[in-house]
Amino acid sequence: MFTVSVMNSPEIFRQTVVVTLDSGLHMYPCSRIAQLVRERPCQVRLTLGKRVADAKNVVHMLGLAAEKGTELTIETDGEGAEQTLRDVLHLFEINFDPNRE
Amino acid sequence: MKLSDFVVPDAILADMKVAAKEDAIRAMVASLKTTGSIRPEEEENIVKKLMEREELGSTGIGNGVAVPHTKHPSVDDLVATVAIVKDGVEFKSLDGGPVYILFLLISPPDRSGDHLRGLENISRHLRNQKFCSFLRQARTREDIIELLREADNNELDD
Repeated sequence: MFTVSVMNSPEIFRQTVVVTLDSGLHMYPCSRIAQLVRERPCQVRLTLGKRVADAKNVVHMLGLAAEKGTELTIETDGEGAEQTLRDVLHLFEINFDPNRE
Repeated sequence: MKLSDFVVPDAILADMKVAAKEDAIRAMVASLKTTGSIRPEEEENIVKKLMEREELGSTGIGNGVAVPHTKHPSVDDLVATVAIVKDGVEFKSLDGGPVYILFLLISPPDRSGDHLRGLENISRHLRNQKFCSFLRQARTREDIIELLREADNNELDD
């Protein structure tokens, strides 16, 4: 579904996704992402245009106000970055549906 | 969108005394009922929807803050209220800590964009340490109304 690619820097992993949730990236998906990554040693960021949100922080991600159809870039770096990117992508793939985890 | 566009000033609770999450949600919804912002006959169902949302995952998002919210067909516009719990209340928050600041938001089901913008607006101010610190120190409803006004006017920015 998604191909994880290394771009620009050998240490930074990036992937662009489109928000397909009808309600956009509201609090539940933001909380799921934060729960997933907050204990990981790597950095995880979501970028929308010029706005960058720390994916370990729900309040930061809500600040993106990413509606359905919005293109976001997920970026990870540091220890376990590649796997963490895959795990975050999985949440988008299953549309944050707890029954599909 | 500003806080004053959807926070009902008279429904703000500056010193809410509650023992548990459900008590907090009930008190805030009751306050919105008292101000006529929701219909009395919808109160119980709104509380039920808010609690169902909490079961999906706590809206206690860390740093002493919770934003319980739901969509509900009985409201035509976003309505919200703010409450401060001086001693904190257990909320099963993301970071495990108690909650001191609550924003409760109810939005019409067909207005996802407004709902997101409401959450964005609240979260933008909650990122401001000064805003959170002053909110916790507020003693009266008027203090909080003034603080929200200052936040809307970007007077609290560092």
